[in-house]
Amino acid sequence: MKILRITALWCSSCLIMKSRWKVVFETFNEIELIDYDYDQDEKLIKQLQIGQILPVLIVFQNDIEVARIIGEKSVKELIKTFEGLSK
Amino acid sequence: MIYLDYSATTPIHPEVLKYYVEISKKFFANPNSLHDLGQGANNKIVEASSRICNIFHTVDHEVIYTSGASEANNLAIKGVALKKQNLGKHIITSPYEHSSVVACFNYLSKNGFEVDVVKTNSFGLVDFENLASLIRDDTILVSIGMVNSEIGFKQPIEEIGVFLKKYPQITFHSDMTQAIGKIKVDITNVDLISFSAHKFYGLKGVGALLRKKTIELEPVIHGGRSTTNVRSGTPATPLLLSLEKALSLACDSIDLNYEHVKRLSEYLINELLQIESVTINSNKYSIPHILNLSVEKLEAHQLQTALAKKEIYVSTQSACNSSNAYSHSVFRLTGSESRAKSSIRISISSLTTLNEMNQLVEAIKEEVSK
Repeated sequence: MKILRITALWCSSCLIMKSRWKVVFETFNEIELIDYDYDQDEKLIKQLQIGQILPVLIVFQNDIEVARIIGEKSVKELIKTFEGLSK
Repeated sequence: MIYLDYSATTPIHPEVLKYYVEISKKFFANPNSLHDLGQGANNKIVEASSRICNIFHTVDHEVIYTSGASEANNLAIKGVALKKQNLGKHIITSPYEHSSVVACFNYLSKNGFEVDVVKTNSFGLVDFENLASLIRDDTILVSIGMVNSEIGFKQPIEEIGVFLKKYPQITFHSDMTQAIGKIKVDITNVDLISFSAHKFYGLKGVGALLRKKTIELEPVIHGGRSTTNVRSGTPATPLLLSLEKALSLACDSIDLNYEHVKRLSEYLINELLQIESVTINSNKYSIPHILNLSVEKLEAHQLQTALAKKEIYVSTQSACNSSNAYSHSVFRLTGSESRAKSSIRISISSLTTLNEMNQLVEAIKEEVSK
């Protein structure tokens, strides 16, 4: 599973999510994480049409986008989403 | 024109501007120069710093002048983290901080520091039990802002300061940018305090970090020794002195101004609640100067633009983050996406009038009824 993670330095939700992602990504193996910065990687991000809310996780399986996880989510919600994708 | 964005910035007080011009003419010399003219300027800065400490009733702090609150926050957070990293790399903040605080924490997190964000209650206030559970032997810094810039709730900074005294390895920083000049603050148990002059009718481009003299900081701007050894650069004497002037003026009339703003805020809330689809996001812990509301029929930018056409100026989110019309703070506090998308901030001051409040209410009514 490949995840594009889009965050920004000034984004409070991105800061809040860091510890939750850590828990979830440790639970699910074989996650390839690619980080984009909302301000530094502006051109790349424009193509992804991510909207107004950060952070955004774009999940790919076999190079096909299968999910977008937008904004603040609880560990429980994240685990549920990833369990669904792992089936 | 009706200006209701005083939490973004305030117009300059005429006396402050006059003083700034006078000082610019008279004390132009470099305060770091050793000749009489330079030392004259330096003495004025020393006197101003002493008066600032008197305003805050402190002999324990020194004034470090900065370009504004963002630089003060950077110096406080990065300065402590880098200076104390040998003691630990664990730092704590709250979910409702200004972007300049958040950015420092995200930056430090990317550079080997471990960040925890303390839980808050339904009013946005710090949960003391959770804070206690997060503190570890390697926790070196806690940074909690006093007044949230979007919703206006005030953290119990005095109590947090007393609570953190149990942990001598922790430095306590508070961004008081939205508090100073509006409400009385007690900094006795706070090690580092950030603020900016343009929030209380001073000039833009100057702020300060009050530092307890026992707290060591790694400089963010390196260079020669200036008015302090942690912030280099030629002191901008007129700006520095104008900050003290603006602060003195704001604090001289703080009780009177507070009562005026409180009366207007109460009146405004009462009137707004009678309009269909208006909900108030500010709560009982919010200072009266900041009123956050949602008009769920209208997206934030839509309402802001409509009001601006009537020359009524309000904010969506805090001004430092308003390219994005979605308020994370409102969502976090209320759990409502529609309120987060439709939230606007009305910030009022001692200059605001009852007539302006009535015109705002009428304008919102008109937009809602369309």
